[in-house]
Amino acid sequence: MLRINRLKVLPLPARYVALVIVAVLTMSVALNGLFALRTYMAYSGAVNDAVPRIERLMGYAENERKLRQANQDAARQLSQWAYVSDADAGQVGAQLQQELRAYAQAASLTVTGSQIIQEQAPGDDALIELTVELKITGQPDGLERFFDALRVHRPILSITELSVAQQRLTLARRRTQQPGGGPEMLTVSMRVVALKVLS
Amino acid sequence: MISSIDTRSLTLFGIDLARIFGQVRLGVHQLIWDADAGVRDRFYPPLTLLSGASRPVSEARLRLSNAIPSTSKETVYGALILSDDQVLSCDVTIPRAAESHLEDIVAVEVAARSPFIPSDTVSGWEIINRTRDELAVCIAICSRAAVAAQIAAAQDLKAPVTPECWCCSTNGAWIRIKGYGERRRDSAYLRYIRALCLRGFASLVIASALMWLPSVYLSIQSDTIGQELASAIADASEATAVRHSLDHHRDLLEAAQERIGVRVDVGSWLDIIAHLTPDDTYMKRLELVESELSVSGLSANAADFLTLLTTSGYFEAIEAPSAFTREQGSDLERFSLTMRLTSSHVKD
Repeated sequence: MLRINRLKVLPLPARYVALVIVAVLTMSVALNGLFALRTYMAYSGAVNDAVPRIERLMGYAENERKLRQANQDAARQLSQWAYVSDADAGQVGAQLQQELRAYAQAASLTVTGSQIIQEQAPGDDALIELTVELKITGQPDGLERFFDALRVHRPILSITELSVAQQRLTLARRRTQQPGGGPEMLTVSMRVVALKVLS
Repeated sequence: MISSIDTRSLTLFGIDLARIFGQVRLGVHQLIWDADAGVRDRFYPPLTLLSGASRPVSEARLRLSNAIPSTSKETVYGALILSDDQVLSCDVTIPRAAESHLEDIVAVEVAARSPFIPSDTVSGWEIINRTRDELAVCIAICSRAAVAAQIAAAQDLKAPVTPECWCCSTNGAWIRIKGYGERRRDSAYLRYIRALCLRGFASLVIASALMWLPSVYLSIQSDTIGQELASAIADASEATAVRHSLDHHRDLLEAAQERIGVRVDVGSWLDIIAHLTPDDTYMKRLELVESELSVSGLSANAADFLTLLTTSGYFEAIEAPSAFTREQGSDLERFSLTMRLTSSHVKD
């Protein structure tokens, strides 16, 4: 109705009124369109998010048996690497200490001292490091058997520090020991670490 | 709507709103009635000329129809054209800013210039020119009695209602004398404009509603999918719990493997050292902290032992913190070495 060249010849008040009317109409249409588009995008996003989620959930429900099996396998694997019992970390540490002492005795080693140190695994809120400091004395073949026992222990144990030294003999004992008779005695100090899942 | 607001004493922060309202009202009036806007030319109802067409009519507002007057009252607007000798016309120039008071100015001019007594005076006016600062207005004045006589003659021609009275000024401008049948046609025109605006507004509302249709459809779909989702969540709650447990176990397993997996298998390393150590070398002390190893002992040739360790590929950064010294009373050299287990052999 009002073309641009016609707008130019309009008196000033009429021009302003026409421009305001056109601007208001254009803005209302544009804003309405914008809000409609935004709402459409929001609903579209919700639908697009929900559809794959429903399919995933249905997939879970259909494969529940397989999931349970996989979960059991994962739990079993985890038990090879860390203690997963609900027991208190102190109890598990004490149990570990007892097991280490038993291994040492079975390997004919003498435990001269042991201590449990419990600390959080750095950077991990779900795992606790259970550290046992052991001081033992014995012969090299006994020490080898002790290490073999640690290697097959599950959950896996790791030795973070080890100190092996030849035991100093007292003068009386040195005299009684026949030259070339019997293997030498070792003094061993070590830190054995196991992991425990925080219950 | 605007005209119903009393704007005489409106101010906002010291700004005279009455003036602004006056300008808005003038703008709307110009849009509807001004020839330059084109609205009136397009939508003003046509007239049927009853008498007096003495010359070609180019005035769009007249829009003379050649059709025979219809009997329908709504569609017929009659007009008669006064002869030149019945009309006194004059031009008046006023400041453009006074346009909103044009009616009052014209009334004063008519009162001043009319040769007829006030009760016998009728008039009309038309803006014939606009410049940047001024308006040229042509005013037509004539006798009410003369006009009445001509209308009476026209009604003898079976005019259905009071016709409009038009005249042509000396400068060629067509002027409508006010106070006759023009009100009907103006009202019809305004009704039409109002209906047109309403139609436009309705179209806008419908178009806006149409814009929302996809959103409404999606919202319904979203509700349906939301219900399906709730149902799926309920159905898969146990499986989801198992899945979360599985994820938790896997995370823990990964973390445990990351921590324990990189550590040294002490038994294997002791085997390697025992295997590398020649028969003429004796260890007196061995310390291993993470992957840092330090050994001290006696050897028939400590330098050879050092070379052996270096070339074995199992150790790196091998250093001797103190010099090799020969043990008194024997042929053996006392050594003390520090080294790091090579990272490729640290893992199990």
